[in-house]
Amino acid sequence: MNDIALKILWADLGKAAAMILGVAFSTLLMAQQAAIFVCLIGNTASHISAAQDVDIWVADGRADYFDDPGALPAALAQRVKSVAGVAYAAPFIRMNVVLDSNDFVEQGILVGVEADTLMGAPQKMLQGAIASLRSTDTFVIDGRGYSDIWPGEELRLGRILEVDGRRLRLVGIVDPPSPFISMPLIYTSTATAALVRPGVSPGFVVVRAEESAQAAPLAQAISEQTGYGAFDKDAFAQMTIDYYLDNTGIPINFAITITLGFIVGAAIVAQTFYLFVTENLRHLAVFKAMGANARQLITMTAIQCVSVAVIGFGLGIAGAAYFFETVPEKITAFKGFYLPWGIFVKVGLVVLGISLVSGLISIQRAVRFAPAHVIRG
Amino acid sequence: MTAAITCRDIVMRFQEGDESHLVLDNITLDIDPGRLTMIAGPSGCGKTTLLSILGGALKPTSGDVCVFGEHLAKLSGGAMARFRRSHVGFIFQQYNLVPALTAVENAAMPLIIAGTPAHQAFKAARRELARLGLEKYADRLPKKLSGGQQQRVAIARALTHGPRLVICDEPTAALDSKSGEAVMAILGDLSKDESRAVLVVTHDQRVFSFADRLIELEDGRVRADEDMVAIRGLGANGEDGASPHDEAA
Repeated sequence: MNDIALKILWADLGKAAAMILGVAFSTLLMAQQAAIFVCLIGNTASHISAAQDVDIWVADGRADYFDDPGALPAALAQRVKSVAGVAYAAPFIRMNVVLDSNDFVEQGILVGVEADTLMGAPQKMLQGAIASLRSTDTFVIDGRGYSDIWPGEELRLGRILEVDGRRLRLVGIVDPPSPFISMPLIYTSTATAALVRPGVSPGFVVVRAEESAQAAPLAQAISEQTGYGAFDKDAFAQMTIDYYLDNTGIPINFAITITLGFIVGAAIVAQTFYLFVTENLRHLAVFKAMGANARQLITMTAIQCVSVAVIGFGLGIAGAAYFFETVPEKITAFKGFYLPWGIFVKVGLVVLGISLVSGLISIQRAVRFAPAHVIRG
Repeated sequence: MTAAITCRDIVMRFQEGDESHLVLDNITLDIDPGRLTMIAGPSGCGKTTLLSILGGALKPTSGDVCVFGEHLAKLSGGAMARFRRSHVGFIFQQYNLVPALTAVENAAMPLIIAGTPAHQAFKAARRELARLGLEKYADRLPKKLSGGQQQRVAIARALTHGPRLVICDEPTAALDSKSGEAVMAILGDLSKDESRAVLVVTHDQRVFSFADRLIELEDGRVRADEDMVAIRGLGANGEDGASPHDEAA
């Protein structure tokens, strides 16, 4: 019966192709949009996850995400250091600045890291060394920011950039984590940051735990002993993600697109399957007159549905995979975007569900069709 | 001879909104195996409904139908399907072949539905097609066959699982007279098997001469029930009463 079901399916190539394309389009839309959403939201915490040498982030108790740090007292890092289990603690500055390269003026983000430990600085360099930040009035910039400020020019160290009116020298270009906010990102030492903006307070104290200490209990201890908020890396990343989920329209917009993908896919597949089954109703009824039972008819339809779903899903997911293979290399806004396995599996299950439900709803007519009708013609 | 089919006081009503239509009104019949029984009558007289009931495709409103010892009115839907799968072969007016399947695949369908392994089903279907002179058309799609060839494929499909009851609904209606006669000759041959009953519903008077027995319905009742073999015998001065088509067949 399985072979017969497939022969009937492929005999009507036009309808089979329409169903497969419907599933493929739906898969592409759902997988691509869901993956972009996951990567985009994940990028809100990319600075936290990329600071691999930081185990705990200490912030103002009212701070609820990375991009809006409060102002901490300069001496807080010393107090944190005194907590048992802390290996290192250093101030970490994050502030918005104006960048002026003579040709372009634009907003940027300055991250100040302590010169001794360089905790929280990116690890992967395209040019130069991160340790060069220890020299006063130097900065390191992300590759994308470099292209924004000096468009079309080759990467070259030693260039001068005015940051909030103070001239800083470029000593390194980093390959930073995928950004959520598309502004140039520059790194300086906290000392240089204080020269750029005198009196600036650290937004965070970054902490590395001793090897024997566990991050979550240590964060709890820091919080209790200092009265400030202290969060292990994962918890702080999740807080930041939750903030963007709760306070921006991003989830709604993506949910609408993903839902549209679902609805469009379901509508195309359901309608085409319904037409397909309707046109085959007479043959199914003949099978029924010959003694085929409901289970056999449903199995035949399920085989057709699964075939359509698997091929359509394969095409759609291949399209989505191709997008993530090629586009992030060319468009920096998509840098680091990928197709997570979870989305691959979930979209696969949704598509299979759409196809099966559509097919099973459609087959109900054939199941209910009295065999006598086919004799009556 | 034990009757293949006995039906007693068959009543069939169809409900349409508030109206109830009486389609069969107390039909009582015995149908013997080894004979070609024709049911004729004007449109709407209930002949196809009677055929559907006798073939286990429809349950009567009341009355008893016993086909080869199986009381159909007592069977559940699943048991009726099993009954049709094992004992009934259907031949339809419009052939109802699946266009996507070749002649041999169409002919093998009853066996495949019954769960016979595909290679065995195809082997049996080829044998049946060969018996009907369609060996070289076995791998063709229905659209590549003439109407008469398609109806012969449909006959092969009805026979491939060896049913004891063959039900034919207007088998010649879509055929020219020559093809129609050829099909009726095949059905006539089939009916010679003493273990099998062949029932043909038709209003095509050209093929009445193939009948061994002709039952005429009118307004849901049996208007006439004639033993055509006996009538032909009388017409031939008491000779053997064979159908005039026997030689040709």
